[in-house]
Amino acid sequence: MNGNTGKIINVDLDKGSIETELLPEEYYTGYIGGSGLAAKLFWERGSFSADPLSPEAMLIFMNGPFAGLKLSGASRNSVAGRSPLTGNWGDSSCGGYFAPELRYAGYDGIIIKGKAEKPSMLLIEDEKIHILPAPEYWGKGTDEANRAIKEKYGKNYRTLIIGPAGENLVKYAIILNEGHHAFGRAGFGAVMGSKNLKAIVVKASAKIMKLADPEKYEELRAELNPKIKEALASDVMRENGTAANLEGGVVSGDVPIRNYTSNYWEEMGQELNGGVLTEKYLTKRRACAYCSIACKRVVEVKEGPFAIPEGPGPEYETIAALGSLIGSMDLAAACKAGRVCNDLGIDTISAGGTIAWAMEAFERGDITEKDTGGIKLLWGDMETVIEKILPVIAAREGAFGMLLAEGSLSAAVKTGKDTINYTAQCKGLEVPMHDPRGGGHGLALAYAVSPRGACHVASPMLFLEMGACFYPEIGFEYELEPMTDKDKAETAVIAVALGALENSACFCQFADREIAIPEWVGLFNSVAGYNWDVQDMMMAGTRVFYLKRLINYLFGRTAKDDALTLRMLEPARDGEPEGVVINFEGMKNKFYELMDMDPVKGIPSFKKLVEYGMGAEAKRVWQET
Amino acid sequence: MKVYLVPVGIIKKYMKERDLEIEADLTAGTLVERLNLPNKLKTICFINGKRIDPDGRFTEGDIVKIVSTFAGG
Repeated sequence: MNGNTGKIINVDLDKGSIETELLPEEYYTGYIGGSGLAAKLFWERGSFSADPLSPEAMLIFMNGPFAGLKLSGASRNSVAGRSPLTGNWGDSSCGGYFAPELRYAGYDGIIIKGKAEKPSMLLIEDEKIHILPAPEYWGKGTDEANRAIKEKYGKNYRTLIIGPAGENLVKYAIILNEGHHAFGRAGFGAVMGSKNLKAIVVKASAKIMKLADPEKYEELRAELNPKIKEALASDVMRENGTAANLEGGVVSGDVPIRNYTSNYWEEMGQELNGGVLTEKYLTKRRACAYCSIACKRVVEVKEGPFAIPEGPGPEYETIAALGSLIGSMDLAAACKAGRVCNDLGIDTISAGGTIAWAMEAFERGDITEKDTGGIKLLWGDMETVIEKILPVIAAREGAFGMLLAEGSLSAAVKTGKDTINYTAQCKGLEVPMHDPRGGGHGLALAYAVSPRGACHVASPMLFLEMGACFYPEIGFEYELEPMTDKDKAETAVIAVALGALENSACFCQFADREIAIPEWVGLFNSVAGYNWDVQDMMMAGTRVFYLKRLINYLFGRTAKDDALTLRMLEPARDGEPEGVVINFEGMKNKFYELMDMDPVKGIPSFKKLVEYGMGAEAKRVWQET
Repeated sequence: MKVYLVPVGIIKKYMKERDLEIEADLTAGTLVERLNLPNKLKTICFINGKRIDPDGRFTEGDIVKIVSTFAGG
């Protein structure tokens, strides 16, 4: 096989067994890699009845075809399976340094089932793969565990580690690479924790890769790397990180404030933006493997109540989720809260979303100090967030810790009193830090139809609405007006296919928006030898999207679950989008029509699935019901 | 007539706050074109917190915020 290694590792922690396996090439041509190939493997082998935190649950790590090929942004990795947070299909992408090392060691992915008897870790050194006892790391924060593992094995051993939150099965626990890069969303840190697996460590001895057309690939790489590096967006993010334009987002109403109750807070925009982070706290810029953008931040807060030593700094999502969303405009506090979340192993987006819901519930009297164990929940009280709330979540301490550790949807269902109306989530996944009412109405549709729940990277809708990229070869050559529903359903049809491609190829959206469609095709063909044309490639993207829809259908999700909460759809109360109402149902109905999806079941028609080469899948869903 | 331009966010890298003398019938779209901002930056004008359509116009003394739609994730 070219490009991909074709080989995965199957780990059964019940039996303590490890086997390698060669996958059929048609799995790759059909579903590419990353979250697409993981979906195919789950579809073929996963249990649709198993609790995601049971030993039977599958935990899948999967590379894309370009991992380790020294192309900017192309060395990410996906983790996937049934999300413990949502109960649906879940996947999460991570940059960092794990994917290339896994590929160099000879593997495209890892499938883990079972549960180790005692705390364990998986060590991969080329063909030598071992399940090792790891009691000394259990209970440790990600930073300490990462340092200890690297001290023992070597600094070039690449690590995936869970924190105490994963061990304690917090439903939005993360898996952290190199102590900095997170598989943040959907709670797969808890899945690792449920398997008593503290860490996965990989080291390769060589970098041998077989490509279909190495010369053509090198030609493309020589064109694309400078193009990505010199792009204006790359320059902006290299200088001031992903929060570089947070202040602009505040003016347009994109940045959520106090649990999505406000769309304008001028002073906050001036305090939390990436330029301020650079001036006050930045000590170094960092990049994921082979990436020339270098949007990662290393920060130090030297003094004050939120002082932290030099270490990983926050990205836009963390700054907003642990800042404006919970009523704070204290950047030092956001840095510290983000650092604490990393160390405890908690997703900053879901943490911010869940805490924001709780703060509003407290303000309304829907929960009281009786429910919180005496903790007062006040907007912007970052000391309480950092010192009390995050630790009780990670430890699942007391009734309040247990409540918030389940995420905002579960917490609202348990609390009752219509508190679900002011959750900001879709399918149980907390909404990321772009408010469709001010950021772009198409994003509301993108959040709703995303298989894993509210997600801004499941498709590039955010970038398409802001006019960051155009793809004339596939019909996207028109400018969108973000604040209307015009052409959004049509654009979403293109966006879901592109998003599935990106997340299956494990390409970073910040880098790949510089890649034109013919270049995408050239990459797949020169690396893996698929001989695709544009249509073949786009069909693969749509096929991946459809398959994830089918998986969710077998989990019991239907069209009615492609919905946003009342909070997300009520008219904005202030700022630029004040009074604006999103024509959500109109966009959704049109999207369903264009995708030939059943308006009740939420899955593609039998005929459409057959058209995409998914006849067997079609029989399974249409004959089982 | 005169308006006052205020760059916001990443636009600050490309222009400074300043007065600008413009024709009375100048549209927001044309104003943005005249600022010679990088083509890749989709840019919008805001007055009193509200976005102005590309064919919208200004009045004397408007404070015009110049904002890019650029967003990070």
